[in-house]
Amino acid sequence: MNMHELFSEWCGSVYPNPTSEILEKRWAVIEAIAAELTPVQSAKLAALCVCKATDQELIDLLNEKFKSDDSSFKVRANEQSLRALGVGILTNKMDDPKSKDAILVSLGIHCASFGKKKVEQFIADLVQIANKFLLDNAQQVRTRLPINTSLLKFKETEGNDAATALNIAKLTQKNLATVIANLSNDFDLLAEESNMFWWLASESSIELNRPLAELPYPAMLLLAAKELADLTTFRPGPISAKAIIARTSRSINSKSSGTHSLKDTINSIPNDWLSNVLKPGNDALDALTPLSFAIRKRIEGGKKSAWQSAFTTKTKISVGEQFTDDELAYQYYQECLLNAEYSESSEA
Amino acid sequence: MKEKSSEEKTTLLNSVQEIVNAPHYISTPELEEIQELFSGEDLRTADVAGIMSGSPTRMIVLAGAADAGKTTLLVTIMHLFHKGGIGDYIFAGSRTLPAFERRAFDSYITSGRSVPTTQHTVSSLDDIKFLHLAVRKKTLDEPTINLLFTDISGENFRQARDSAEECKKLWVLHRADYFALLLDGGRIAEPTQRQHTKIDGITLLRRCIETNMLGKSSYIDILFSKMDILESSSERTRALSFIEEIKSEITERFVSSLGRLRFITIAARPTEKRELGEAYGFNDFLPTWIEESPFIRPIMSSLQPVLPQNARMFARFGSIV
Repeated sequence: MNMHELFSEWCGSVYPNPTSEILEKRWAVIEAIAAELTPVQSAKLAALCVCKATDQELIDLLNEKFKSDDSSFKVRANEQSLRALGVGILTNKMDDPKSKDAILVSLGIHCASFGKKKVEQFIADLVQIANKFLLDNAQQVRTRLPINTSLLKFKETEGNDAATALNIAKLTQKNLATVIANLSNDFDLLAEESNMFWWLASESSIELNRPLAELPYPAMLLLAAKELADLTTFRPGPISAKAIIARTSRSINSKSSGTHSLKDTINSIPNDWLSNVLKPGNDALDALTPLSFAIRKRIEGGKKSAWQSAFTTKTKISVGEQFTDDELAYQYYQECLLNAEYSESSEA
Repeated sequence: MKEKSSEEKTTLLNSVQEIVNAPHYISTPELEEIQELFSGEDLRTADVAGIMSGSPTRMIVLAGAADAGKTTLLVTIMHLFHKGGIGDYIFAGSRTLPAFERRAFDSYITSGRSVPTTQHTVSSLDDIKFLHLAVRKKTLDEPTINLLFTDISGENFRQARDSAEECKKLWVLHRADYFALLLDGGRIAEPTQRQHTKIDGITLLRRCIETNMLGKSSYIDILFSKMDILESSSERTRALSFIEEIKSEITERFVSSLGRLRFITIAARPTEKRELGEAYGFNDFLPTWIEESPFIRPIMSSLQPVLPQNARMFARFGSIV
């Protein structure tokens, strides 16, 4: 793949005046690393780049790869340089059509950017690339595949022996399989759409079998986000997910101020929802999923205040910070999708 | 003490020789990394790479004519941090302390001079020198930020002003978080000098913009230095209105080509109008040099999807609400 058009700018912020020779060398290593990185390592790299969450094993691996290509590569106190190069690796993953971790990486980057106001240019670029990838792919995975019925027509052939008949049968079977697969995909797409639509119209929780309006607010936002994520068959979620969430919160609680602090949101979750309904997610994704991390810490801490200091230390986000209800719910929706993607990727 | 015999002396000398000849370290990649020691003198480009790759770094290019006060500004910044910091920030280290000290030496009172002077910079654009200062928030809850100041001579800027070729050698301008152009307030107070000061500054800016060395992502601070001299001058009123003229002209001509443009009046070490106090005006630019940068920007969270004509209502729902 060609070097990313912004790569020289990313490197320019951590190296003075990088030469094209250095850039090409680094990019070659980036491509090699991107091809080898496992889903777990990709998630850790996203955490290093966006959240500065260091993982020594990953850092050692990156240092070793870059050092083996260039003996002058500095391997100590080089966090900024690894983050900028890491942006190259993650971008490479998202640009590579063969990459199996692209959705995991883009969801991870998107979730990790929650609550971050101003960041280095290379991180802002990375988040923008990830968000664009999510938008484009949300549409792409929901594109209806063509149902080509002409594939099912028998072709007149000259031969009338058993071998010809077998060939015709094999071809027909193959064509039929393609048509059925495309139809099945179409059904799944329509099922996802109609499930989401009827869930939105019902204004009820599937899990608790109760109207959403009867549930505590703003905790209900997280439950709604989680249920919408459960109904999402294709990842990334549809581009309308944000609007569906917004419609849910507005129709249920028109009296709400529309903003809540993280503290109020997490503390409003009833105890019995914590581990049974919302589920805290995978701890390997803690740095990337701040809301899931807060829920986990509330479960571990018992008291409503116990999670707060651990949360601020880890995420650098103040628990008193205000977010709109839509932001909170959409963030948790994406975190749920990330958790699901991660579980599937690591199992595979 | 009993004198050693010649045999003892030979043995001792041989032992010393063995120590001297012995390898000083075991050469492994790890140890080679550890041996990275700084002399404390000016940093070169290769040294700067090590700093930049470690933690967030702001690169500040100090530009201006010879005697405009670039070195004095540098020394005063270091002095401020020695005295306890500025705003929310405190001193967190420097890899060029002796280099700062060497520049400051002449300005110390102990030098016995009535008017502080500083050693001026002599450098080549092929090997730009840097001075380093690390600062940190008083609360210690944020990582250290490196400040790298270029120390480029007024003569180099004169060459850059007069030649596009020379200007393009100033690669640091592309990476610079701030381009601080010092215009000498003392010279502006002199009727015979003020036009030259204005033309020199404007020509340098124009050249840097024309050669694309400065552009939409450049933050420019125009610092009117030595304001104590200007304030105590008999030409004060005319000089101040001349400064306003410079501001208007620079704004009119260049603001649309730049990322940000500010004008600040300063006096690093007032000798004429002492009531201005040391580091007069520094609060107006120094904290922002640490906190803000054209390379720090907000995350663009809301991207609008481009929907095809035949997009289903399910997809359109997102674009309507």
